[in-house]
Amino acid sequence: MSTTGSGRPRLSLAAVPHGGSLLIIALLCAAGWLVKPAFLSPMNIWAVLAISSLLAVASAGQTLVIVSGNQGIDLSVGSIMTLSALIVSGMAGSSNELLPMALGTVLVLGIAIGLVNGIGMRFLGLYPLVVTLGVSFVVEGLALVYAQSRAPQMPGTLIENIGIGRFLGIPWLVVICALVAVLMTVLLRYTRFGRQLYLVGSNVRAAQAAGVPVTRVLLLTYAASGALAALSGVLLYGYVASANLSIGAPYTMMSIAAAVIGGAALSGGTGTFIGTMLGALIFSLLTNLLITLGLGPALRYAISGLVLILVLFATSRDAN
Amino acid sequence: MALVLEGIYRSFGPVRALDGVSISVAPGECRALYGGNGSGKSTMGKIASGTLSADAGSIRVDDRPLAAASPASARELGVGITFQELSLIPELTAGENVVLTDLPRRFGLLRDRKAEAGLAAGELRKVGLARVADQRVELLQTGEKYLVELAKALSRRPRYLIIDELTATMHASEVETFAALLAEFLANGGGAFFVSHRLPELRRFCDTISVLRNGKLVFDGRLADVGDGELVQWAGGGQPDDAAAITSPHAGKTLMRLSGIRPLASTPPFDLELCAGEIVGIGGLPDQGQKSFLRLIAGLRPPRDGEAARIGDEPLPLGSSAAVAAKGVSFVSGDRDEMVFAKRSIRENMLAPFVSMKGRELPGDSEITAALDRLSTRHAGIHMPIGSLSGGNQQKILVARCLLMNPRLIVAEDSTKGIDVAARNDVHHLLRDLAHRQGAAVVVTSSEDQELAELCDRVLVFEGGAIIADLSRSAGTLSAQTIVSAYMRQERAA
Repeated sequence: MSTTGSGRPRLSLAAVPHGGSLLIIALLCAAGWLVKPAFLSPMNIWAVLAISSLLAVASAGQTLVIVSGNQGIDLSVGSIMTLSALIVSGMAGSSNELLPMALGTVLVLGIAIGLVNGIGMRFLGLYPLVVTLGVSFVVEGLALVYAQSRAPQMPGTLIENIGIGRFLGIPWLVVICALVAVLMTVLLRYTRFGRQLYLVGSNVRAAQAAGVPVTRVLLLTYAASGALAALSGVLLYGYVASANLSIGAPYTMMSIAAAVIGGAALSGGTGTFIGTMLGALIFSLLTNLLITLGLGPALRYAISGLVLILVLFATSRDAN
Repeated sequence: MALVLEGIYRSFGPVRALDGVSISVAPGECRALYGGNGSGKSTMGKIASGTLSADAGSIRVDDRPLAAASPASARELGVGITFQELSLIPELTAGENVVLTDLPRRFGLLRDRKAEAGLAAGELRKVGLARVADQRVELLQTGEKYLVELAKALSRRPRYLIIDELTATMHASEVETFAALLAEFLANGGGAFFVSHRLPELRRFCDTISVLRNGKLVFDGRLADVGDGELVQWAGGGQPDDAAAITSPHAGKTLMRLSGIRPLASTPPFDLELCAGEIVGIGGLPDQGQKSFLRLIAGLRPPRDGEAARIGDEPLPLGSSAAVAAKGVSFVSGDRDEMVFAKRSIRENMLAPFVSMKGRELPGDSEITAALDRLSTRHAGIHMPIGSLSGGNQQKILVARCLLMNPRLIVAEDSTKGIDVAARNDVHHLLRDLAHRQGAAVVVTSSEDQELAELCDRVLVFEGGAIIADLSRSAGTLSAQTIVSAYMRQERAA
């Protein structure tokens, strides 16, 4: 996973890929078990895995964008998810037959929005933070307009099954996340695009000098982020079993948190999807633990924020 | 009573810029600090003004030591400096810039704009620019900016002034203003170091001269006693070149035809042919279009109207580094910020150019290791991040990368910048190998004339975007000496 892992066998935490994340996960599980042994019951474990799978898929595009560097960050993830959930809900509703068309529509829309982000950052020379923030407002506006014209409906059986059903005893969300993990890892580690992405993220001038088609790589990255956000919007719709105007909003910041906890440097050039998955799991475990402790939402947010800062301080401080 | 620098040593990384240099200037004296590119003259000026620190040696201003390298304490002691590249803030007005280092305050906190304006107007009047006090500096002409820079330095009433090169483009009247101010400054008991490589300027303004070469003082005396020829010779070297004069079996076959080349937008276009198996150096004073030329043929700068190139029998798709690289052109720069993927492994850094070439096999680990061994690069495994290595070793890896690509043309921009002599020799050997044995064409720039003379078969001296001299080893016209004379002579004619 990690390119810095040396070939020599050493029994230190740094030598184990994602050792830090795995240790934190173990600690959170142990703490949960101490508070309430049912924390490690199969039911709770599957529930945490399902919700963290959803977050991991929602963070996949964010990971690509953060790896692409050049101040890369995608603040439109949440609003694309909302729009996508509303459109699938409006177009397909409870009908399974209309689902492929709805899915196609949101994917095309996600890619288009991602491309706008990419064009804004690459051609207009705007900071990704600014472009994606602006675009997210526009997308929210579109979502509002759409929701006013077509009231959201309950999902059909197919979508609902994907959101909360199981396949061979494993939640569909976890299965889908595993598929995305395979695709993302192949993409990042073994394809030309993946290699180019790390180079562009690490040093864009050097990438240019080495003949990497920087513009194409960046545009593809932002487009992929839009598509993945649209896909996660559909999953979220199935999971919540309804759609509303704020359904996706928390995922913007959570996706950044998951990617960064997972080892993607905000300065670009490093990060893996496996890392992001573990980051999403840490985030979900922490929330679950705080709920188990009986804390209300206000305290939960505050504490998870503080814990995140601590985790990041321990795992991903920039060396300088 | 004098500004005395004694036994100054200064290294940049492994490169020794100053090697025990002692110079001094007395009140009323204007001393020229003269030398070729990379001789250390500018470094010396910056150390005298506290802009740079010395590794060893002492600086005394009228017997008071400059303890720490800080422009503020140098100013306290009475040393001012003007820079060719200017130290002005473009967004502020000329007046604000002049008083910036010594803003009058009210209650020690608030700006006193009235006092400020009065002060600034007074200082600017001396350089004849009181009328531009309220204009933003970015709107001024280059010559005017330089006079503002001078007013700023003089506003603190320094006893010693370091003039780190005059700005190249000044009107005759502005030069007169400068001359009058300098004469007045000297008459009032000031002393000045005039850092420059332009002999006519130095002859006009200076009485005494210190000549630096490769960080060592090679002459110190009265300017009137020495001729231009001697000075150029001292600055340019005179040690015999020890270049391996291997004649390439490929020499003579034209590899690349360039036409309508305009390194700077303002210059008339020229045509050029580059031969296989030949190392061509691009020399001259800094910023005469060398970089722009290299970047064009590396595909890193969009071509201007009429600029075109052919490599072998095919046109070279200028303006796209990826397409140019695919035609067998390999670029390496000594600016490691622009070349190195610090976070990624040595292997990934070596493979970076291949990643974008369709239909080209990625070299295996054994090939990578072999290329690194040829440059005797020290590393702890090719999966280590390249950022963990020394600058010299990073640079060798970048050159070894060219080796892997088996290129037809290597474009090397200051490829030995900031690396030690041993590493530099390794890089030279490899470039010679690539040219003379494998028949690649090599185009290099260097800030050191000596290096060009040692490494190249042919050196083109650039001036204002045009080729003013074409020196070749086979014709016996190539040495550090002739390179320096080429660009110095041009200065004299101008």
